[in-house]
Amino acid sequence: MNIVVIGAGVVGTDLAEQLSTEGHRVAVVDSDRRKVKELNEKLDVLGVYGNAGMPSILDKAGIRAADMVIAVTDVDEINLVVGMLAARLGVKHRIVRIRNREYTAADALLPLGELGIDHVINPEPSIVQALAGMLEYPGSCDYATLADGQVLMLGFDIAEDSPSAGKTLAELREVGDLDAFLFLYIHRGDEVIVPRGSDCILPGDNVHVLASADTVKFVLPMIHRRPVEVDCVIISGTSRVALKLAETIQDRVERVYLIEPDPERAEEAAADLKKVTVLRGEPTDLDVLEEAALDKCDLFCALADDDQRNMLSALLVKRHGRALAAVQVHQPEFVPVLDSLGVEIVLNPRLVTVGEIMMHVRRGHVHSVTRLAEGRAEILEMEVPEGSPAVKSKLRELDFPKNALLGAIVRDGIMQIPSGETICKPGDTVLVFALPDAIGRIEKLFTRRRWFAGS
Amino acid sequence: MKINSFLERADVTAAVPIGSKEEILSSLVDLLVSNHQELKRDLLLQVLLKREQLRSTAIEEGVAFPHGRVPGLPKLISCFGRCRKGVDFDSFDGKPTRFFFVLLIPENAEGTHLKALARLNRLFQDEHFRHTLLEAEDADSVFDAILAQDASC
Repeated sequence: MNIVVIGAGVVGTDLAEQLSTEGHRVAVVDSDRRKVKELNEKLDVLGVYGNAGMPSILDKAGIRAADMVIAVTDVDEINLVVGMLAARLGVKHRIVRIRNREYTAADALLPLGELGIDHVINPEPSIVQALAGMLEYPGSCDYATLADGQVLMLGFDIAEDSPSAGKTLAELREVGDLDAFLFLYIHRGDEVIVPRGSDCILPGDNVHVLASADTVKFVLPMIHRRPVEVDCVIISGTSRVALKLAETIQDRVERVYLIEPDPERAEEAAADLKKVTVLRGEPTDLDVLEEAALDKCDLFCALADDDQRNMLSALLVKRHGRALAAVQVHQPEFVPVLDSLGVEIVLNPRLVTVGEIMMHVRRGHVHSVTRLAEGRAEILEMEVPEGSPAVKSKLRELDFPKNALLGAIVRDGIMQIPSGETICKPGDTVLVFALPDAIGRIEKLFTRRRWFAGS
Repeated sequence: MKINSFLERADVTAAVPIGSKEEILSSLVDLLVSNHQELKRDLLLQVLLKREQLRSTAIEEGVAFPHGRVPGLPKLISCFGRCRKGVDFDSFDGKPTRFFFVLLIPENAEGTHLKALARLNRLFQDEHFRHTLLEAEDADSVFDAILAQDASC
């Protein structure tokens, strides 16, 4: 495809890199000359300098020949204008990131569809859902729902005394087959491992599990020796994610504190959130944290819009409390730092955004793309089409790439763990875990050939 | 999936003896074998114990769901037992286990047992229902309580 990306921020750069690696022709427009220069040097893309709100600049990026425009600048209004211009110029797929709810609400003054914007990307709801999900399954450090909620993806850190520690995948598979869960991958040190039967789960591993929503209750005891209780949560910041999370959990968690330095914003939050104790102060001030019962805190969520404030406050919490920490950062460079601080949950709006966009880029009937392990792997949720190679033979006879795993099949609303003997049926939803080099072949297996090429 | 589609009145007992994991499962398997002569006692026990070895099926609030896949089984078969005093079944939340819902799953069940487990799990989350079960006088009233709860939610 010919793809024009607007905005060379973290998300734009990430997308440009991924898309060009996958063989798409990519142009990137940004109004920062330095960023454009960097892109031209680093990636195999066409960097264009200029204001993307101007048709002449979009022309320079080859918009008239583009199949897809992805507008991900930091400014909603620029993204909107790009989407509208692209629609007028006949670009087939127009994907626009909009964060402000005044534009995206169902009763918005300007319905985005009428402006020609067909896909609006906003990572915030997914992040709130992930955090609320982790509270529902305490002890998990990653959460996503797949296949209309039939399947959950959960991430866990394996403790020394975990019942799974020291067990091989083959042993665990016996239970997994029965209870419908599957170890998807192991993140060990710097390595992402697609596990085989003889591989062992070790303390210190981070594992990701696919589980049927029906029987997820049986998974937690396999991971933890005893249940983890979350009765007290501190949220730092009044970003949209912070406020929405506070609102979502205030009825479920015994005590919720919210810390915000700005007096006006703190006051507004206090007025809106009846069951939340709002404290005005810096989350990087130990006195304020102590006032928020840091010693009793089970989970600390640093959700301010400022990465550095989030990191510093998490550092304090880790040093003076026993809480799990969830930290939102936008800058990818900070992720390894957070890992070294012992932060359990790293929330990454960039990964969510890229995942939501890649869903529209992938070929075949792709319903969702969940980016994992800092974008080094993904789960593709696909509907199996009639006539695709996948429906023609047993799984073990398919040319299934090594760095991929067919994790689950959802058929008639029931999640099944496939075996080598399984044959996919048209209409099944499949969840495939894949490292980047396997994605092309996966797409082919689950796509119907529509034409016959000469060679 | 309604519970009366896989649980029969005869397969309910209100008098599970206090004992070890193996003793408790044995007594439940004995009940099953006495009602379903085609079942093989040793095989059932072995299947259930194997699953328990990897991790206890006692999840929380005194409820356990021992289950396993049984070769040659024609359909989903279950039994239910109550032990008023409660026993140590190595439960996840550390509480004593009082309710045992055993599920025997055919080899090619294609996941229907998941719906049964999900349904049971939902029923047993109701604290009032657990209390009713604990208070029930005999096996008959235990079974009636399960049917009533099954019909009401």
